[in-house]
Amino acid sequence: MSYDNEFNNLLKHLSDFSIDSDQWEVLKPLSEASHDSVNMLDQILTIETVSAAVFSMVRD
Amino acid sequence: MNNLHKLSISEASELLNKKDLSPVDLVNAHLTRIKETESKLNSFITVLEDAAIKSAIQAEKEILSGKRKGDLHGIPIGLKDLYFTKGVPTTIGSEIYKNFIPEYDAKVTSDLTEAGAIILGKLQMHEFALGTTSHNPHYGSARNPWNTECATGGSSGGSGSSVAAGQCMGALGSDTGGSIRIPSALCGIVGMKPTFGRVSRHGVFPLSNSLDTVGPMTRTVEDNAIMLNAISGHDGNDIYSAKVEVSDFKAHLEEDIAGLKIARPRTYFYDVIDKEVLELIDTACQKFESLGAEVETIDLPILDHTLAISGTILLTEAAEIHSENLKAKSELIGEDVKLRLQQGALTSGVDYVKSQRGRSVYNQKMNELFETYDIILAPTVPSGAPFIEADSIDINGTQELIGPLMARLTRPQNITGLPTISIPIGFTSKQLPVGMQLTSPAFQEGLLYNVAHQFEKISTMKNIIPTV
Repeated sequence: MSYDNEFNNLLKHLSDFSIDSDQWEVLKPLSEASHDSVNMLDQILTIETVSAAVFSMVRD
Repeated sequence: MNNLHKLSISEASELLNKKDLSPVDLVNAHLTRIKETESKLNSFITVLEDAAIKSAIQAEKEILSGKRKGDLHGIPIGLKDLYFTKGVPTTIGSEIYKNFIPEYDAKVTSDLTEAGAIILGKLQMHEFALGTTSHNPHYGSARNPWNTECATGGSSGGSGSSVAAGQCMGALGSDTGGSIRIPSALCGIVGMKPTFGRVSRHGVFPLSNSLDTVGPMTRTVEDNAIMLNAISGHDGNDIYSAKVEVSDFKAHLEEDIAGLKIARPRTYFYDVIDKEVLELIDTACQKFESLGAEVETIDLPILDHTLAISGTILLTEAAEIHSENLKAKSELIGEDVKLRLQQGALTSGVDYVKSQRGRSVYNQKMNELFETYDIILAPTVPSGAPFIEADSIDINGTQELIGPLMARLTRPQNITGLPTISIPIGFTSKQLPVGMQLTSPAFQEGLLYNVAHQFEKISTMKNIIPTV
């Protein structure tokens, strides 16, 4: 089971939001580009994660 | 008195106070201006002529009997058509809500009418406020009064157009990714995006709950301060409304700004920019230095994550607000807006949360700047107004898509929630206005008005109105 809440049934989700196949052709690259740019945030969130780890070590 | 539509709010207010001007004459002059120019501008969705005249007669009686309420009493203004107005259609620029008639006024609507302002009508906008051009498939495009073949910018395009053209003396816009500042810059007026939480959003149709702000658009800095004075303050009906003291935003306009430290981030803001805009920003920096301020160019790498954070949060929250419209009435939504809502609906929960976490780091870095500097300075829009019919615009030899380009430089301040004012700084060679935005620490709108007013005093861009 995925720990993510990514869509288990993409087709149903597309249908729910009135997305037809032509629109999906346009939306798919947009969504992928958006997802990739969000993943780039890992560059700055790493700092936060490392900080958290340091605090954890201090507590231990 | 001729050309009453060219008066600023402060000028008209002084005349009204001395009883040298009738609010009825002032309102009629603006209604005439609307009739003369509206076929070229398409600024309004609804004009409230009869109600405005009735309110003006009432204001005249009150002023003549010594019951003047203040600077806005008898002043004709407009409201973007997403502010609830009791008994008056409020379309949100859409087909879906074309028959929506609110049963109550937005908090800011009642704030303004209680201050004596007279509402001339409801203004054109991008559908659902989800776009930067104010091209509207249901009500037509708002047109830029400096060149009616050009766009106003959006989403508060009717507000920008009507104020710039002298159809009304001030207007309210809303700003989620730049929707006050973009049309202010492209139409040559002053637009304030206040601190998130400064102004109540109760009765304002939402786009993005964690980004939406409400603010005034005027032709002078002082006028803008007058309007923000009327609408600021805590409101228990808006859960994001801040409990902070509201001071008189006009109080510090004349203070000297010598010694002010201004940061000019070169990261991100100048990656895509028309060279004429760049030259005008350089000149504006020199003007600040002539006033005794220090302008320092800095790097701020966090800005490179602006589009990922802003785009993800805005579209996802908009999709949540419009999820039922998207599911049941999508055929009634314009194609460009529908596409953005659908993109938001496809965003995963993981990406939304990651964007909000990124926003926390982003805000921390931006706020750290104010340990060294008083103000952050940047261009508002990378170009002058594009043609209405165009999908792209040439920026130094490269074609850039207009939609994303318009909001590129205004998104950072919605992520942070920091107050930002856009003021006109000059014209391109095509005689199209260009704007500059100034950002301060949270809840320091008074400082922004002070700095902008001092700049305005040495510029030629105060209260400029095109012929149309």
